[in-house]
Amino acid sequence: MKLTPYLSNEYITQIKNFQLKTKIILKGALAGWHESPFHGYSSEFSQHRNYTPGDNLRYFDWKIYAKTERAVIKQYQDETNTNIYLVLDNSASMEYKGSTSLTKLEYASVLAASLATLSFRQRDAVSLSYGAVQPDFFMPPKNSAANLQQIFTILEGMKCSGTTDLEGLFAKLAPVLKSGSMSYIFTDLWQEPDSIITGIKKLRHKSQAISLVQILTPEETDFISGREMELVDMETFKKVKVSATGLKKLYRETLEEHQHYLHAECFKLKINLINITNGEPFFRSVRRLLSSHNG
Amino acid sequence: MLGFLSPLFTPLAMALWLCALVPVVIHLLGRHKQLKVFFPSVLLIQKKLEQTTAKQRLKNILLLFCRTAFLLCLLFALLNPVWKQMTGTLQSGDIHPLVLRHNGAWSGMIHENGMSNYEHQTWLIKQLDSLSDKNCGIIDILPFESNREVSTAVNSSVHWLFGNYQQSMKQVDNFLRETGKEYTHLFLPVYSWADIMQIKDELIALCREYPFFTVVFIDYTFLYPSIDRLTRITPRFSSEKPLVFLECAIDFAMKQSDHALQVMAGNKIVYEKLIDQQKEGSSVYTMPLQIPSGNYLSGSIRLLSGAVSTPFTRNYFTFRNPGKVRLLHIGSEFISLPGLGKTSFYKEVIHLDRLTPELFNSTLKTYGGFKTFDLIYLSNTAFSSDQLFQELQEYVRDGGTLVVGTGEQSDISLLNRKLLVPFKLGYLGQRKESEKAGLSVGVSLAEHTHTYPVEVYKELIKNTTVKQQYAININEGAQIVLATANGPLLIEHKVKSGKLFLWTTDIDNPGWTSIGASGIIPLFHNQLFEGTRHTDHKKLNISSDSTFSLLSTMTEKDQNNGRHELTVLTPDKQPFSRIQKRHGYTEIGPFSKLGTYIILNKADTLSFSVNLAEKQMNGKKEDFFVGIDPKEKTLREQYLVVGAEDALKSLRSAFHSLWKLFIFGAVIFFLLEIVISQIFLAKTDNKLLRNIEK
Repeated sequence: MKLTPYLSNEYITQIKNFQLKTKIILKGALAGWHESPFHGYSSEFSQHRNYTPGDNLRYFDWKIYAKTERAVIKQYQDETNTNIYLVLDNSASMEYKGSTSLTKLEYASVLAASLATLSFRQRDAVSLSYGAVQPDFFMPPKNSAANLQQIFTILEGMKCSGTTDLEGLFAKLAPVLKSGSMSYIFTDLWQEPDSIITGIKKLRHKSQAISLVQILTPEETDFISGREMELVDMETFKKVKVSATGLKKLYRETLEEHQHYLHAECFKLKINLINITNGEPFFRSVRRLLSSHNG
Repeated sequence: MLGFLSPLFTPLAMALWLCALVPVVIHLLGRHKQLKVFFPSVLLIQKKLEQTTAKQRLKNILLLFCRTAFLLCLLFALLNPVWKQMTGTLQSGDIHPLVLRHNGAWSGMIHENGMSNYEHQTWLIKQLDSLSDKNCGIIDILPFESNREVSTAVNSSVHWLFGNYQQSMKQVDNFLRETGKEYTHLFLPVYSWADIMQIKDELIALCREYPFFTVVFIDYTFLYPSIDRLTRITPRFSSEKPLVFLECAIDFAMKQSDHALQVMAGNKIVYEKLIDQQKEGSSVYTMPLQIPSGNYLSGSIRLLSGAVSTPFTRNYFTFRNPGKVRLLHIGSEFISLPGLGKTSFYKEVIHLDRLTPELFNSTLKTYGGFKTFDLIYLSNTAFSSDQLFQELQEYVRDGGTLVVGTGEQSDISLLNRKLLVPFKLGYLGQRKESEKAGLSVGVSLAEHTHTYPVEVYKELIKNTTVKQQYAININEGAQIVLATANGPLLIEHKVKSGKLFLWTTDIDNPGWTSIGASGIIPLFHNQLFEGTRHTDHKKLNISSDSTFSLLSTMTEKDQNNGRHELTVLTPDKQPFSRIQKRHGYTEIGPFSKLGTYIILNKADTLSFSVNLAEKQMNGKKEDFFVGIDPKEKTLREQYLVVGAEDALKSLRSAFHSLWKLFIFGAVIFFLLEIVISQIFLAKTDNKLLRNIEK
């Protein structure tokens, strides 16, 4: 799948509006979630930049102004460069697209590409990794145009295979994550909920802000019913014959229970669980991803 | 060996089988059409599937039940012809293409409407065949008739077999085996039902061996007197399953005007048809008269040709207990032959012209006295002796039924003195004559057990007349059954456990009354005989050291030549030689073998059994097969319908009678299956499914 058609100029223009907001959110989020030992400013100076009206005068470099009459603002490294980890579940179930035009993995790829673009623009380092049982690929966080391009290339070339094992995936991924980073995990969460939570707990120790993005198609949320069918599990190839009346309702109730349990557990762990339906407009989904940190 | 399966593989049956397979095929195709959908995960479905399994199972059980019931109903309905053949019933329209005809001894001799009976049979068969719209093949069996002029009457598909009834039955069997053709009908002209009883077992065996083989009786014994317009009525041989046939073929010669044809079963019209002669011409009509086996039924067939002419009526009736009653008839020839002389419902008929002292002694010795008879009909008292009357009195007091007739030669004073007065019945007086006295039915008849059908079927005696009868002064206690304006005609009198019936007219003499030729006599006598004491009567057994006396049927010329035409066959079917001519009768015996002996006299047959005398049995249980060769016994037992086979027959019969219900059931279950499927089928989002299938 080529990402270019989805990352059109018009689309980029749309999500550009999220930029400032995103930064504020990120900042706010960092400040709110992690208790900083430096009481509001970083210890490591990074660079100066020109003052613009509205900047916090707290970071105004009066010394430079006194010497050279240039109005500059001091910037510190922690504030300017956050590591963002994009993790994609490429298990076989992610290949399902139902009645939509893109598979769940493709949809997740577009979202990941969008976040990567935003991160690059705000000079955040972006990392990409994917896998089903264990990380098939891991790219360390970097902030460069070449890195971004490489991310696009990798996203375009991803294939689905294997069964979902988030516990195993996160266990392998946790050691390579840097502390104080943000993580976006794109998956359909088709696994026993306890295993998912166990896996996330391992990841949670390293990454301060985790967003678990569950992508489901409309068929997965509403279920198919109406006639006799033989459902074949895309991961295990297990076959199940269904035809009973009321199964649709029962499925939705069960899914609701499943979701509710995951939400409850994620809330305890201070993890954002974002449910996105495959087929939603991308900019709306991106906005939901970014705005989720506000809450 | 597997020939019994052949009916299941006829083209029609195969087509029906294919039809029966349709739902199965649909079911199988439906299974294959199950949508196969790849789904990301069946994790949640599996959880809930356990909950829905019960419903699924219920649906499957219901569907399985419906489908099985549907198939079974369809199967039973389709097997209806097999049940029908197994139960031996024949209904209207079930005419098969090939006909096997057993021709009677006198088939060509009796002419009606310018057509011999033989020709008429051929025509009849052709007519029946035309109903099935197929070519007809005929096997013709001509007992004792090797020189019949039959070649012009039938086509080349006719085969002739010769011999008497029993011989011809074997020939039929051999013929069917040799030819390998599937003959489906045996036309059996009946001149003596006793003869048919003789070959009953063979017929049953034949019917069982050839499941689709049907025997049609054409009763010529009932064709008396000749009626021009209704030429053939086939009475029912109702108690002898599987030889039960409901055929009524009518031919009439009236070509000028239209007619209404009515068939009455009892007093109910079961068939009514307006016949347009211009369109239909002479035809055979088959009417499905539902006559349950073993039930008595009488009725009539009438042709109504308008107001100006008298309706032509023909009575018919069936018998409840054929072959059960033993009758001793003492008297001259009688015109009431159709009813009284008809042997179909008698086990044995002994007919004596007169009872001379010698014959009387001989008869008593032979049969162990009168008490062995269910019924004695004394139509002529001219030569009766004192001893005879004494024996008759004892017979009646002992529970017997005696019917006494009067006539030209009756010794009225002797009858009064020796029978009527001692029994306190009354006193016969002078003979009365009237030109035409109509018969009336007694007031009390409606409640009379024996004569209630007379009340019911008044029409049977509407046109009968009584010209001569004796006056009678009856005592209190005697009951008038029939009467005319001139006085009582038939009186019933109960004497202890016995009954005495007295006719005051000669029913055998048309000069006295036409009642003998009417339908009332056989009907009445049939009812009368049904009520006799045959149920507790013993079999006709004679002591093995005794002799059997038979009135000689030889002509004077034969006697002078010293020839006797009687042939007696032993139970082994070997000629029996101990036959002695006496004056006026023939004495047969003594006997050395036990079993059934057969007397062949020209075309007539008579059988009697020789068994151990009661005193010789020494308390042994009487066995129907005593004296019969073990092989034959096995054979006969095989033919007898007993025990489980009866139940099986009942089941087949039930299946046969319920075929409409099976059809209905099949439709219901088919619809039920659809309904169940629909109930369990939720609404489908077709658009969604289309996308999924893509």
